Amino acid sequence: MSDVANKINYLKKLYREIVLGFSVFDYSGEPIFIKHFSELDNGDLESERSNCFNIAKERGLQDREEKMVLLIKEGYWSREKEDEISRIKKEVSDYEMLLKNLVIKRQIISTKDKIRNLNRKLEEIHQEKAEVFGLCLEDFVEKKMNELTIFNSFYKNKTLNEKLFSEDEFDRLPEAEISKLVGILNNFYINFSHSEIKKICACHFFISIFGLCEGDAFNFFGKRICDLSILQINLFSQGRYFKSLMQSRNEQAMPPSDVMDDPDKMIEWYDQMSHGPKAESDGVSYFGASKSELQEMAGGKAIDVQEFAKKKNNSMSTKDFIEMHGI
Amino acid sequence: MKEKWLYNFDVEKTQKVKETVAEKDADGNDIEVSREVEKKIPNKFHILNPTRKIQDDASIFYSVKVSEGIKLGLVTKSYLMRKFQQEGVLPNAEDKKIHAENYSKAIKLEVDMETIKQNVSLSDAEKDLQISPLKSEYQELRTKIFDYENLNSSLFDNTAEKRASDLLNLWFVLHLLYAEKDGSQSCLFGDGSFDQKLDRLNAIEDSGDEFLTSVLEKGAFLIGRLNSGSSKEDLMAEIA
Repeated sequence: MSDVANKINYLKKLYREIVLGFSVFDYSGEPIFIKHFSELDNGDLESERSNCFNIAKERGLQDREEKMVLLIKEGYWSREKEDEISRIKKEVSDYEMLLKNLVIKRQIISTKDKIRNLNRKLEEIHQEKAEVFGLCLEDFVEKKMNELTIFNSFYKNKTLNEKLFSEDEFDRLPEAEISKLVGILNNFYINFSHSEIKKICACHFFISIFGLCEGDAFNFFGKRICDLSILQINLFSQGRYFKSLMQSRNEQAMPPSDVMDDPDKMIEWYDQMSHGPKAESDGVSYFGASKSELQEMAGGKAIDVQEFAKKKNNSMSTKDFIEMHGI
Repeated sequence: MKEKWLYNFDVEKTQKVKETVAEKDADGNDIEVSREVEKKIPNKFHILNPTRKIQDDASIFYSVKVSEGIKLGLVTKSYLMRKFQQEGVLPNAEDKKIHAENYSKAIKLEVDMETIKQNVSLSDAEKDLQISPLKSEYQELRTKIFDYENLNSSLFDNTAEKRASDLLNLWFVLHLLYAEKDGSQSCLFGDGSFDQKLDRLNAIEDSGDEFLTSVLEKGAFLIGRLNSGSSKEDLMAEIA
């Protein structure tokens, strides 16, 4: 079977799991079922968050702000360090923003280096802070929420009516077993990352089925919107977005069949469509870019100003410059 | 699933028990005579294997006690660590490397010994023969590791973390020590908060009850050792 056929079969498997609302994994040789959470499930988790918060607070566990006040008062931490964290974060964010707009390789490399160095410094300060602060209320609540997510995710059967562990069993589960379950859950989240959902929506089989539901989620899943899993909502939204991109093209601009057959190529096509067609006159110059970078950016249509000038007998008027930029 | 009990032990208690013996009366007839005699009866105690909930409670307790120590004016371990690093009091890179190597070797030996123990193709005698040299090497490494850690931890004796850690050991004793009576087990210090349990501990100590005092001593010793990473097998060997 070809790579593309394998890929499509795999995406069909993921699609099936999204529609069914659960995934099957192997746990110590036995099948276990991961429930795909809905927003209602997430809401339940969030209500537990405040319970955990109140219990720990009642027992005297300080939140980060309270701990910071104490540690600053006793001289183990300082406002300056907090300011430094904020400053570095801001710098990283500025450089990341800059990175998105850079096209010159040398500038990209140098900016990435700066970001890496800043992140390393940030990591050092965070590590020092973690040692000084120890366990805070927020850390505790986060840990409990992670455990609760694990507890609520796994089921014994596909009807999802019997959890894999009772509360008591889960409470006595060794750390090694919890790590195993975390590993399974991580794989699950990787399988259903946004890029995989996009690929499913770019598959021919999905486009055909989706075309029949007339943009109605109930027609597609047979469920109320509030009962849909988050993955179902993501799939439906992505499908609708791609359909609208497709509809915005006329018949002549439809992707060729070899693109239609490969979800990765289809995504490239959708991405090009979403950025819109570039006007012919979209001329632009980049300072510091090498010849090959310019050719790459212009899709092989870059013009060398010296060669252009030669054609004009080395004497260029404003009109010639405008012409060179295709305006 | 974790076993419910981390460790089980007996403490003998001198108790008056009714004893029935077969005797003959003056006429030579068989009779049964019951009388109360003092006997040493083994009483069962257990150390609870901490569940995740108990471990969470313990980490909250520890963190609260660290903050309490800081408020009381004790220095923190991380502060002292930085100070000692600047002054060159802490072990150098070479010492640390040797310690890390000893640690890895000890773990590898533990795994090797366990593999031999699980090997069904070996007889018990063969297993003993193969484990014996590994065991003495393991004990030697454990001593080195213990000495290194002991020396370094003594540098941090007067920190908020050390105070919290000592209190945490007490917390574990108050929460993990269980007594068995008529086949059912309950916490030796009953239910309630840390302070309520501590009151019961103090009451036992004040009572001068030799039996309960010896239960406390043995329980606290075992819990302390188990918390410091000793295996059940090590404990059994030490107690024997």
